[in-house]
Amino acid sequence: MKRIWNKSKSLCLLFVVLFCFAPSIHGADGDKEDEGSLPEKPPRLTLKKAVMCEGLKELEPVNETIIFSVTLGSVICFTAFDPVPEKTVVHHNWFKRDQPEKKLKLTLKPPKWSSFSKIRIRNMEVGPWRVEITDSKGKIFRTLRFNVTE
Amino acid sequence: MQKLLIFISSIRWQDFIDIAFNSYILFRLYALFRGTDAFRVLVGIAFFWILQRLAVSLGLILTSWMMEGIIAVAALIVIVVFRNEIRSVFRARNIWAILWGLPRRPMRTPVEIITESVFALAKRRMGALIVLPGKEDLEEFVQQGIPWDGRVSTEMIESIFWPNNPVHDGAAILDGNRVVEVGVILPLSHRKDLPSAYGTRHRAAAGLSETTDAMVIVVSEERGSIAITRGFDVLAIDGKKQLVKALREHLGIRVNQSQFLKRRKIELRIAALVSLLIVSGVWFSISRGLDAIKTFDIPVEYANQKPGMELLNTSATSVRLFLQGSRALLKSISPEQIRVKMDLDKAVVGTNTFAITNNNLSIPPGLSLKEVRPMVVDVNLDTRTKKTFPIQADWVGKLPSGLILVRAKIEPSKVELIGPKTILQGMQTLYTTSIPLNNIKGSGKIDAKLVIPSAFLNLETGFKDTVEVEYEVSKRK
Repeated sequence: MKRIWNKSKSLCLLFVVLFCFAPSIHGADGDKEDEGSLPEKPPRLTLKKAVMCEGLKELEPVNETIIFSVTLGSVICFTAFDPVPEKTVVHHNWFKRDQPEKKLKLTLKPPKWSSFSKIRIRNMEVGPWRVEITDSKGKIFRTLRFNVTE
Repeated sequence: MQKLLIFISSIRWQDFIDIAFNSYILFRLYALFRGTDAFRVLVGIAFFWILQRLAVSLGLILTSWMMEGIIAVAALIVIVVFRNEIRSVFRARNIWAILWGLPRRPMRTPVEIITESVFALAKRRMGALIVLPGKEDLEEFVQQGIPWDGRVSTEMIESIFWPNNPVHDGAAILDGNRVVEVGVILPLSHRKDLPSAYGTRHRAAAGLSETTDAMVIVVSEERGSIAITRGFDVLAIDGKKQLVKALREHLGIRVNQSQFLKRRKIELRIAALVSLLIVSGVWFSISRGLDAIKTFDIPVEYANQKPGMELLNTSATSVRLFLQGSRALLKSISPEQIRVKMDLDKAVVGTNTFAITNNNLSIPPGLSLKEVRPMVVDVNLDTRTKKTFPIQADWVGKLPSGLILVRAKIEPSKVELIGPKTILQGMQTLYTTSIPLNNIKGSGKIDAKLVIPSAFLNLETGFKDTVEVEYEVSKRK
C-alpha cells in the first residue's frame, strides 16, 4: 500500500475561491430555504477513478489493462477518491474465480486521496480475477475484472 | 413339523391363485386337445423338455443343446402340421366355451337312420354321396357347399338325393345328428387302380378320403350298390350290419355309451388332479426354493419430489441387492425386473436420509431380500430460484508483444440463471469459455459461449448462452 498526498497550488486556490463565494451561494440557498427547500447534503466519499494497471508513474497508473501476463510479476489496482470528507478506510478485495484471495485495507484522508494495492502473480494465479473496492461497511464502490494469463 | 408349519404359513393368497390359475390352464389344454394328434406331439415335447432339464442337471452339454433344438423345431412343427386341428379346437362359438365349457359331448350320429336311408336309396337306385368327417377340418378340400343344417332322418336324406333336387349330384356332409352342407363338390381321386366300373361319384368319395380322415358312403345310381371309402380303402357293403359296424368304428361309438361317459368323467377328474399336482410341483420348485442368493446392482429411482424442489445429489445412484430364492427363478430374472424406488414426497430441503426397505423394492414374487448395500441413502434437495450474474471473459494465451488489452465490453453484461438455491448462492460470476489472445492484432469483437457450471442450472428464458465481447487494444507505453 502506498499513500499519496497531492498538494497543488491550483487546488488550494480553488478551495479559497470556493470558500469566498460560499456565503453568497449559501445566502442564495438560504433564501430558498425560507421558501421551504431541503438543507444541503454533506459530501460523501466518492470513487473517482479505479483501474487495473501494470505500474505507476508519478502516482498515476501506467498501461491500464485487463490482461496481465505472469511474466509481469505483479498486478496493481489503482483507486482515487474525491472528495474524502473524513479520515476513513476502504478495502481492496481480490478474488480469483469467485474465491477470496486477499483483502487489503487502505486509509483515506481528506480532502481527496489516491491509493493502490498490488499482488504478485505466478503461474498458479492464471485465470479470471476481480477486485471489489468497498467502503468500511462493505458497500461495493466498483468491481474491476481482469485476467492473469501465461 | 414346525418347519412345515412355517412353510405353509409363508404361502400368500396370491400363490394359491397362481397355482390354481395355471393348473386350470393346463387342464383346459388337456381337455381341448385330448385325443388329437397335436396333443400326442405336445406330450412328446414335454417328454423332451424333461430330458433336456435332466441333461442340464447332469452336465450333458451337447445333449441339452440337442434337446433344446428338437423342442424348438417340434414346437414349430406342431403349429404348422396341426394347424387344422388347433384351429378346429379354438374355433368355438365364443371365448367362454374355450375357457370354461367342458368339451362338448359330440352329438350322437344316428347310425341306424343313416344305414336305413342308404339302403333305401340303393333300393330305389338313387345315387348318393354322404360324408362323415373325422377329426380334420374339410374346409380346404371341398367346394361349393350349401349350408343345410337339418336334422338327420331317412326322409331328409332321401329328399336331398332325390333326382329332381338341384343339390342331389353333390355330397352331403353330416356332423353328429345334423346334415350341415349339401351339394358339396369333392376332390376327385387320380388313382388308376380303381375298378373301371367306378364312376365320378366313387372317384370323388375316394378323393376326399385319400386326403382327409373322413369316411364317405357312396350309393351307385346305376347298380344300386353301396360302398364306403376310408383312407385308401374302398369297401363294398353287402348288408346293413356291415355298414353299421363300419360307421360305429369310424365314429368311435361304443355299444355301452353310459359306461364310456362315466369313464370319461373319471378321466377328466384325474386330468384335473394331475394338472394341479404338476403345476404345484413346478411352482414350489421355482418359487419356494431358497437355495441360492444372487446380487443385483439396481439403479435407485427417486420420485414424487415436491414441486419447486430440485434433487441436487444422492449418496448412492445404485444399490446392491442380495436376493434369495430358487436357483431357477434367480437365473430367469433380469435386473430390469427389479426396481428400487425412493418416495421423496416427505423429503425436505437439505439432506434427507432414507433407509432402503422392502417397501422401496419391487422384486418378482418368490424372491426375498437378504441384504442391501448401502442400507441408507442420503438425498440432498433444494428449492429452485433465480439469480443474476455478471459475465466475465476468460482470456487465455498471450497477447502479441507490444499490445495491451485496455478494456472489454460484454453484451449482455449480465444473465439470469435458474437453479437450486445452494448452487446459485455459491456463485458470483458467470464466465465465458476460453478466449484465445494469441491471434488478436487489434480491437474487435468476438462471440463467446457461457460456461454453465452445473447441469442443474438453466438460463432464464430470453437469455442466450452466447455473448458478444467487444475489446479495445492499444500499444504498450
